[in-house]
Amino acid sequence: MKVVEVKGLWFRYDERWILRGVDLEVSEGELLAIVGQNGCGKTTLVKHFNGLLKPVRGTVLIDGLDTREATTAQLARRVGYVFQDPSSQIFSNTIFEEVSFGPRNLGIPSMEVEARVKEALEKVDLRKPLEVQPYSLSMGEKERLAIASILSMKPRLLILDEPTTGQDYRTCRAIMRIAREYAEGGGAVVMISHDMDLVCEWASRVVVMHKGEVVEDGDPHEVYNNHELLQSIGLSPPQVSILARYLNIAGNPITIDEMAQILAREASS
Amino acid sequence: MRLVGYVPGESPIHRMDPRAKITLCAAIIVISFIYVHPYLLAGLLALMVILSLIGGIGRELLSRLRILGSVVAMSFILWTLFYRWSLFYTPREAEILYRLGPIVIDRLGLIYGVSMPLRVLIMIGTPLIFIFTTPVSDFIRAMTKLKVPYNIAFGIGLAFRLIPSLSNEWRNIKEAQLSRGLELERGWLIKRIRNHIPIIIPLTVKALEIADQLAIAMETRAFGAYKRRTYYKEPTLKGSDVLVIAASTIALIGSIILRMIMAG
Repeated sequence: MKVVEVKGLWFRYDERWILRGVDLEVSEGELLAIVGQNGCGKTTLVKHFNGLLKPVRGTVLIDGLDTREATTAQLARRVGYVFQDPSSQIFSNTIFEEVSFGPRNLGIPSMEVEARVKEALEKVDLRKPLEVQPYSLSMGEKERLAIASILSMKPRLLILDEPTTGQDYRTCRAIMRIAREYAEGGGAVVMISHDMDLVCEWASRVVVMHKGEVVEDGDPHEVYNNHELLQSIGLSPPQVSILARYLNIAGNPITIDEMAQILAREASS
Repeated sequence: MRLVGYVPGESPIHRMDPRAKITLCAAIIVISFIYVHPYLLAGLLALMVILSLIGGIGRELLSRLRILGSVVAMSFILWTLFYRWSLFYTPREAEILYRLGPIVIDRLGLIYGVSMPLRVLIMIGTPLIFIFTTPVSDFIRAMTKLKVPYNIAFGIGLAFRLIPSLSNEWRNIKEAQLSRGLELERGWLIKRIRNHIPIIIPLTVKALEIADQLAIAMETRAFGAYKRRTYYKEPTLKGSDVLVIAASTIALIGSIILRMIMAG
């Protein structure tokens, strides 16, 4: 099932085109990472998925629904968007209020809201009393709270805009685990990230953007083995991949685990 | 698009000393407030437009003034049609220009109808010219030259600098909450105001955070270490600046005196 279908998307704020004919499809079960330099149009693209921006040319379909014919509030049923900075959405007095804000906006009955809040907090592993004041949480906890307050809306598509920036290693892994579980549970995840190693380890598919266009789209191994392309647009390939090239190791490893497996196999043979 | 802020340029208006510019702008605004004569106000508006054209910011000014379109149209309609019910109404039959059933247009009503929109445009447009052509740092220096304490001058300058960042934050927060299904346009007045709470609270927190970080950054750079401070670029009044100040002051005082004579 296609969750997102983008066809010939062009977008501009003023004279300068920011998106120049983007085509992209995202299916259920995918954990898609969008990478590219700052200002290449990543955020502009994902803001089209929940109707915050509307196409100037082309179409964006979410579950078959044209985003031009729906408001962001209507699309919120299908698309959950976790913004880069969790403090730009936290406003409630208690954790419960914060996480229940989304489902209540969707008109979910209060019995179910309660169940959803608990479920979402469990998923992000935020074990705190529900009446704790959100501003008293740590950075990592705030990020997980922000994700929970989107998960409680049970969207089909989850958008994560640089979810791991400024987070410690443990929180990064926790966030990625949430994303993977979400994709495996039948949803689709689109994530924007600058962290190559993270993308290599967790994403099932990588889309590379440059100057408003999709220049590469495919399996992480395939994309990250194309060093020439990555370097030509100012991205650095994963260190493991660079090292494998220097050492002439075949098999195209992009994570430490893969490298270790290959080396172990070679050592034993 | 930034709503207000410095637009870099090399024009005579940009080079004019901020003190001269303030005097000129103040003169235009005050004179526009003490006279209602449409020709005079049209003249002041023309002066404002010429200044903006010399400054090369005609397009920026026009785009901001266009936002006022509905205010201008409304005040024209209200003043012309409802002048009879206003506090300024003096009944004089001979003054009626046009009558159609209950609709009566008085001469003075029409004058107000033309003048008030012009006033609005002048009142908003003139300060914009100042802001568009003056870097904040020059403005701060000019204020300290006018004996405004540096802390206050710096604070005012800071307010200008923070407008764009706060409006950016506002947009971010609004988008984040819309994505959570917030509907701003739902319900009546009180409900609509309440709808904004999820935006206002994070924005307030953000503003306090920014202020806090700014205070720390300023302290690490020894802000206020000395009572008196010196400047790398000492603002000096050129001959043309003195001329502008003199002309503006004379025009301002002259029109105030003239107005008092006419009233008496």
